[in-house]
Amino acid sequence: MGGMPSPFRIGMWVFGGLLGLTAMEIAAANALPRPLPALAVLGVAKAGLILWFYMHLHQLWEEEE
Amino acid sequence: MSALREGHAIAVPLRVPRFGLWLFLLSESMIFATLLSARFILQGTYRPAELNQALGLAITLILLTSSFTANRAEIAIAHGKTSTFLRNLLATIILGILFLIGVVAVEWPEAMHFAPPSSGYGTVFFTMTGMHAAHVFSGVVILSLIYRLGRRGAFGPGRMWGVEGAVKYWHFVDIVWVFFYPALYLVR
Amino acid sequence: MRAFFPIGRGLLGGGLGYLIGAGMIAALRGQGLTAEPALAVGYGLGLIGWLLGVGMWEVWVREWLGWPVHQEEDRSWVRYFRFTTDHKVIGVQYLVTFLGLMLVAGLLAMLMRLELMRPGLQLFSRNQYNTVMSLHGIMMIAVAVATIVGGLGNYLVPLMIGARDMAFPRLNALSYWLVPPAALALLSTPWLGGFDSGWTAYPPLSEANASGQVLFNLAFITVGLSSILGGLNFLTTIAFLRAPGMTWSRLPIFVWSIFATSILSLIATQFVAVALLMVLLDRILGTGFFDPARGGDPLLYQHVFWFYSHPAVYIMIIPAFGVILEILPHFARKPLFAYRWAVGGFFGIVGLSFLVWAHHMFTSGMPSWLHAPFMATTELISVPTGLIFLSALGTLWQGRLWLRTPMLVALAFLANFLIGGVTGIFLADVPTDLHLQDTYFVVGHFHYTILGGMIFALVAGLYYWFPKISGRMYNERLGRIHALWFFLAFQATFLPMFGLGLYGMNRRVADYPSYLAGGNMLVSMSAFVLGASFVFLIAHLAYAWARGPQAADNPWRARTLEWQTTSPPPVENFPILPRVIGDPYGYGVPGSPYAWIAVAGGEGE
Ligand SMILES: [Cu+2]
Repeated sequence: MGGMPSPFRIGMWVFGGLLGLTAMEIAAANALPRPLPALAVLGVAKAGLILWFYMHLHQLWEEEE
Repeated sequence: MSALREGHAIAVPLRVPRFGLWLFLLSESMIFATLLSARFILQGTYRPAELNQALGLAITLILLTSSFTANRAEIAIAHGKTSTFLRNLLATIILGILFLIGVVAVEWPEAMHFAPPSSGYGTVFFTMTGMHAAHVFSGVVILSLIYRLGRRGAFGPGRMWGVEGAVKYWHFVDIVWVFFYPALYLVR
Repeated sequence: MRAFFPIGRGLLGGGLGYLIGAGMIAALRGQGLTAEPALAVGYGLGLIGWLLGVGMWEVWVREWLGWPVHQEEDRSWVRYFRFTTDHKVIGVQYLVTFLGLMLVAGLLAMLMRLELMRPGLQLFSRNQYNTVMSLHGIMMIAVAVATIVGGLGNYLVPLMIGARDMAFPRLNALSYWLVPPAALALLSTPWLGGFDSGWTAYPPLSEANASGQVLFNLAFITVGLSSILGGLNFLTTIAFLRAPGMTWSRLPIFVWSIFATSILSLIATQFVAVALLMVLLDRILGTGFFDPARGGDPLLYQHVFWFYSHPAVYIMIIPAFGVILEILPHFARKPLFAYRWAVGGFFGIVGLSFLVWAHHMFTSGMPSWLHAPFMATTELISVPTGLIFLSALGTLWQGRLWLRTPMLVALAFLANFLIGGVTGIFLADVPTDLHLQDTYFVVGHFHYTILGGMIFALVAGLYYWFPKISGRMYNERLGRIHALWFFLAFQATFLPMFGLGLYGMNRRVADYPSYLAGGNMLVSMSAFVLGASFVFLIAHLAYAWARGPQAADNPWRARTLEWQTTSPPPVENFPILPRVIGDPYGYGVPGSPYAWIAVAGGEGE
């Protein structure tokens, strides 16, 4: 066991991704004249990260561990 | 299955409650989808200039961080690390309470001045943040119950459906805010 | 007396909850205990108090606190008055409760027909009439949504798929116990000025009328929650608890219909809940969702409302078709025709039902470019519906019909639904609908589909499964007399309504021009005969349950699993879970067994 087990590390990367996407949201809101499409895409990306890595959506079609 | 009737969820394969929870979340998301649509149908992309952007960003970061700690709590208990689990769970609960304070005690009194509930934007703003805050509140209550059970040693590897379910619900509430935050604070 | 202890405790908890919630708000705002904000908060806490008192506390909530839960496994009649988790008990609870509500709502219909017997106002003021009409409407909607799904569905789905219980038995009990407070709230609306906005509760009227409207909205949301939780439970149960060998293609058609319906109630019900909640917020907190002066739009309500309430008509009719398609093969003694196409029809309806809502709004003033697309999608629905109907007809074709009471009522269903479906086309077509909207033509149409369809299917199902549920047999001669009586009185009541509508009789109005007097007298007289047929039905079944002869385990010689256990089934349904090896409807197909069942030596058919 060298350091943290890997699920912790994945969680950290995902968190970093969420923060990065939030920063992009703010940038889009300030830079673009009509930010709605960009915000929608970024929102879906954030939700996707949470659904897949934090909520383990894939468990639904995987065999019982 | 009689074990199920007596209330011990252990005998049931985990995919059954898991599937049920996902269905519940799917159903709940319809509420938020309706409110989100109502926001754009009634108000277009209008947003008052007076909204407290710093506060909006702060509570957003608080909620994202709470999902991060919730995730760590879940991983910790799956590896049998009860004290890490409890620590992260407690952090999640505190962040949730901070979020509630931010919305209800700070943002609402401010918004009352420039967008009261009887105004067009206030109608959607207060309803959306209120419905979401109600879910955050219920999430805090559920996580607190889990924390109480966790301190009594109720969870561990292989017997953690309660933790998994509560954490999934918490992430769901976070996802709602992922869409509500830009819809309320960022669109133009 | 101990039997009613949980219900008494629930009432106490509910009353306390109401007093605490309403009292708090009343004190804060300096208003009475029945002012609208107090009413809403009091209802919310009262609902929680009722649920905790009636059994959730000891059966469920204690577990969240890490304390042991207590559950009595009482096998006497007492269990019907408790937070019991056995799906068969819950099914009977649903059936009895909703049949009771149906009688009450039917009585309201009788009052309406009494008022409409002659032109002018006799019995009611216009507002009272509209409250009676609205109560009749919403209660019958609840009956139509929940009686087959909650009653027959709960009782039969686990039996038909060879399971011991539903996936979430306590959630199942919760779904049922949410119903009584909603019924109580609806029935107490007359003391708060009633509500005159119909079951559709359109604003601006529903935001300007008496406080009864608040209770209506809260009750509707509560029943909606019950329906959502029920749908969630059925989907999980059917997905995961099927007996070994019960593949998706061996699922009885009734189970498929409940599965399709559950998708609708799970996804669609939230929309009506939000629409009703918005009305409440507009009334109580002064938001402006539906008030143009405050940035709102009353048409938004209609869109959100019908986005649920159109699918809701399929929540009512798909299980009805499930019951009928279930009954036909057993009594035609031949396989269900085009099984896969019928299942496809169910899902076709589920998909399309979300794309047709605005056909209720052709005269509402919505943009006219929306007319053509919604007309097209609505008429498209006749394709999957037609598949199901043809499956029924194909099953009858060249069958050796065994005309017992369930079969007679099922055949009546087909006749009624044909009329209901064909008259629907005139309402889906914009040019004709512009004239027919809000007339008795509409009333005739939806009573042909809901009463002629859903309730006839319910009655057919009640006769068909009565021996299984009660362990007793009803009287065949009385059953046949009732079937004929029911069918003829129904036609005499609702067929003239199409004519009345064409001649300009408006719905939801207590009065009409005097040239319509003759037709209305006929309708009222027939309606009283029809109402009496329901009293006869309930009395007959109640008598048979108490005194009828012992029923055989499988009086219809049916192949599906629920008939392969005792009548009524034991708590665990099957001593040993059955193993399914064939087609449920393989009647007359040589060498086609359905299931191996280890009861008292040997296998089932
Ligand atoms: Cu419709």
